Amino acid sequence: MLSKLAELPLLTLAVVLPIIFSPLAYALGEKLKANVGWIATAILFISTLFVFDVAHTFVSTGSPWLESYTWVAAGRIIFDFGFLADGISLAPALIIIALCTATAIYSIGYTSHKHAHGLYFFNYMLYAAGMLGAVLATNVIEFYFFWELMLIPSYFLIAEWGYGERRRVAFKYFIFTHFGAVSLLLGLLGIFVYTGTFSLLEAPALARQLPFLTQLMLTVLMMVGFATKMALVPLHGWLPEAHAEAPTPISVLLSGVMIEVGAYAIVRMILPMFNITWTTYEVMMITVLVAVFSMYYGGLMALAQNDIKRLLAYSSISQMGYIFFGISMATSFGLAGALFHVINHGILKGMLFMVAGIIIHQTGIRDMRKLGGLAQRMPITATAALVGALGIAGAPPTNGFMSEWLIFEGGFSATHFPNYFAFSVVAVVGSAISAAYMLWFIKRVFYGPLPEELKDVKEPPLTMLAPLVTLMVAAVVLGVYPAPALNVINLGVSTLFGGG
Amino acid sequence: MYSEVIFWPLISMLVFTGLTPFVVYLGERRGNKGVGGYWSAASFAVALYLLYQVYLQVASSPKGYLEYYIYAPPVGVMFYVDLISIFFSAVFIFLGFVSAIHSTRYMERDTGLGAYYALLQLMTLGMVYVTFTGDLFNLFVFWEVMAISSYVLVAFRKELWEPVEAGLKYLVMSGAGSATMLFAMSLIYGLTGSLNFVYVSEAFRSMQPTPLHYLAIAMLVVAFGIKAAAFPFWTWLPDAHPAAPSPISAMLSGVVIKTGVYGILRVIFLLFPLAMFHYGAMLFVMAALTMTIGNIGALLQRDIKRLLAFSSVAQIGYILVGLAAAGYGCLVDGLASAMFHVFNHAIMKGLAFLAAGALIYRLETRSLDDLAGVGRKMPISTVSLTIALFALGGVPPLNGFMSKWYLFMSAIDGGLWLLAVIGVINSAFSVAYYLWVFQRLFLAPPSKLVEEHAREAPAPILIALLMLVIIVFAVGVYPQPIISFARTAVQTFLVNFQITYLA
Repeated sequence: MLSKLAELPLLTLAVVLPIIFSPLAYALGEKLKANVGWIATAILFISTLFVFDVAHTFVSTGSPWLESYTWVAAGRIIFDFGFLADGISLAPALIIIALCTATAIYSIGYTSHKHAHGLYFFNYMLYAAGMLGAVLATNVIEFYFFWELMLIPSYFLIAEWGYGERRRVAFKYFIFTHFGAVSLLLGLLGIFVYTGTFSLLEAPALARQLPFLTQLMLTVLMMVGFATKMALVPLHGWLPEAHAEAPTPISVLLSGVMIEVGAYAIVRMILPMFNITWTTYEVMMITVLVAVFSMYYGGLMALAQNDIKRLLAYSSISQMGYIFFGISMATSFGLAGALFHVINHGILKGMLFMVAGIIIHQTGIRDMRKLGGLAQRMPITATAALVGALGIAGAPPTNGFMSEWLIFEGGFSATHFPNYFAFSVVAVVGSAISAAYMLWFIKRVFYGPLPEELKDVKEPPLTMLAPLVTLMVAAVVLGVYPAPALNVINLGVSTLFGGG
Repeated sequence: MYSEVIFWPLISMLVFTGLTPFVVYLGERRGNKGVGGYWSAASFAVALYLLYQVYLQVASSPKGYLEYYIYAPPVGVMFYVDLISIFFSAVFIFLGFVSAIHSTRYMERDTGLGAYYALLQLMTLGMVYVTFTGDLFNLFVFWEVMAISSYVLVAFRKELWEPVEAGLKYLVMSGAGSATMLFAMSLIYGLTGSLNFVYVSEAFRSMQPTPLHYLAIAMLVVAFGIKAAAFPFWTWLPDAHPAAPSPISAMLSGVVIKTGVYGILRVIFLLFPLAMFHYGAMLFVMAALTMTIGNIGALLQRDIKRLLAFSSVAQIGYILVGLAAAGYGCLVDGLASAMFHVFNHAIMKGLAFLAAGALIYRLETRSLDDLAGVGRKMPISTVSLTIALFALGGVPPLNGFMSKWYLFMSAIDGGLWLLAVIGVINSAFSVAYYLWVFQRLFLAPPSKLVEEHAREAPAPILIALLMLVIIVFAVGVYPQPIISFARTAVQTFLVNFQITYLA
């Protein structure tokens, strides 16, 4: 059956189907209430199958999968658009669409007590399509198009279904990332000015011949956009609040995959175009410092939190530091590790936010000082939380260990950077902080005495538990047997250094 | 080739306009206040069909245009129709059609509807034939038909203070603009002995520039700039557009100001060879200042329609970016992108004013404080307004994004890096205040007025909104047909009149 599928434009369908069916979710929302989420799940699941099928073809043939169309042709200004799945884009695409599907199921349980389900899943599907489209885009305009498509629905989702001061937080999120996007847009315009093409397939070869200062200017403009999305220090201001106050399924996606689209974009655009500038000593000094600082800052702030979701949010900043460390070292190990960590962080942070959501949903408490001993009452959730925590801490046999190891290996092999050894040691030492806040989180929430008012807490409904367990299995399987994912990634990284 | 086809829309609209007061009178006797709107909509629908017939003739003509001389050259009073005329007139008539449908309910509490609908049609007729002329004489005649109808429509609610004051301001400024246009015409006639576009442009090509030429350009720019509300002539717009009834605001902001753009695009680029009169720099400065002033002004508004009016000023600035790019040599894409944004802005600003009109129809207030939280009570109208605002802000995948990209690309193609950067920053800045409006309408707690009076607008208004919403999305996702049409139109125009950047 799958061989028949291969004749269809699978990637286009995977991106477009959620967009086309999103109004259906809105229309049926009044009638079906939270169950309208099953429609979203079904559509996203079909998209997931398509992307997996493309991945399967890619691994078996080794050649990238490209679908291309002419969008606008006006003289010199030609916008070709299309969808490209290769070793770089497949890993993020897979985790994005898979996590979106799992979280859609989770949302059904989570939103059962909320309002306006149709609107929620309408925005949700657009958000998913935006993220998937951004990583598969072959042209910078198309990329920007999807980049904004993932911003606007997520803004609505936070502003309407979030917690606390959700409107202010959502506005802050929007302003931060939108101004990042403006800087990015200027950079993308610059690419057109200097290379005369929008195509991500053609631009790298032309951009590499630009003078150093031009490259540097474009790199800075684009990096401001990407770093804001990734929430690297000092552009991280929006993240702790937005991720903490967003509705939990959206926190899963924000922390799990959306910020990693920024990491993907650096690997996709800046490295092939400006790799000479990227690996000069001064630039590396800055990027590696930002990476290490983000790691430490995020980790230390996470240690200081009492709110579950804020802890996880700061942990995301720290983890983005790891990914950025791998990217800024620009070695094949480091990049493979960074891309692999995109997958793993998606799974692990997704799990942990789901756990946080379950705790909030079942107990109504977010403050860890008032929690404790929940392992007795919710054994499955506790197990998943432990796996997630160990993964973030980088302990074997979880997947987090594999990717962090690769990232550090990348740091130690970056001999083109004079200070590589010192920084890598600092980074490795920093990972102890991750272990500290994660294990302390487990201890405070799941162990110790069970407070009196939590005696009757139960495991959540199956719709919330099933996605969590699925992700847990994925985390362990990828930790023990990472070969399939690494095969895909290595093919991509080798083109980045070898062929491209 | 039947050149007479040029007059069919004119005749049909004149007949419909003439009958309008009787139809409205008969309808009101039977207690139906909306009949004039449907009558006008029918008039516009017929005009659109006849325009299509004109288009077929234009498309099949060997040179790509139709002409009909009333006086032979060198006086050369004539009608002239090419694809650019068709493009602009189609936008004008279509928005008139939508506004008429919207008016059926929006204007039901007013009196004097016979005059209202007749003037609406007459104004549209004037705009259409402004684009159908091949000489300055006819241009001026139809320009005044349009302008005078629009003065009356702005001050239509004459028992209120604000519309009368705004209408008077508009009348004075626009009248001054007409006077300078007339003066420019007399100068051009004195220099060349003709008012015919083709004849004048050929005469100018063989002359050396004199101060009188520059004076003529300056005066034409003042005339068109006032109509388009470009910097520094924008001051009347934020008063006049909000004061008019909402369907008229939609027409004024959506299409009437575009006649100014048309004037610059057609008359100035045609009559004055770029190689001789380098007016690109002037357009550059006007574009940069117009969009910046519009956006800053919009930021300070608490009145939804005033905010939209300021945003129109900003959007005219974006359109001028395309014209400036053309002035620096990116002729085809510069003009085509300006036309594309004219189309898109007509659709999205029309949508914005009509959706705001839907809110005003129920709540009778324009204050954003009183409209707070209306999104939950009037979801379709408010979502339409939000879509329009995001399209104006240039958020993909809506149509405004596509045309802004195209504008900034052509600016870069013409070497205007700086202008593109100013445009992008402005555009990003504008999203912030559109978002602020969205927050007031949707997320703020409902005001007392909203709690008591808000419920969804009636069907004709919603149908008008939905038509425009569909176009906003369709053009945003698949802009190619419009862009191709605009480019073909510009190319035939440039070839027919041998307009080039370098001499």
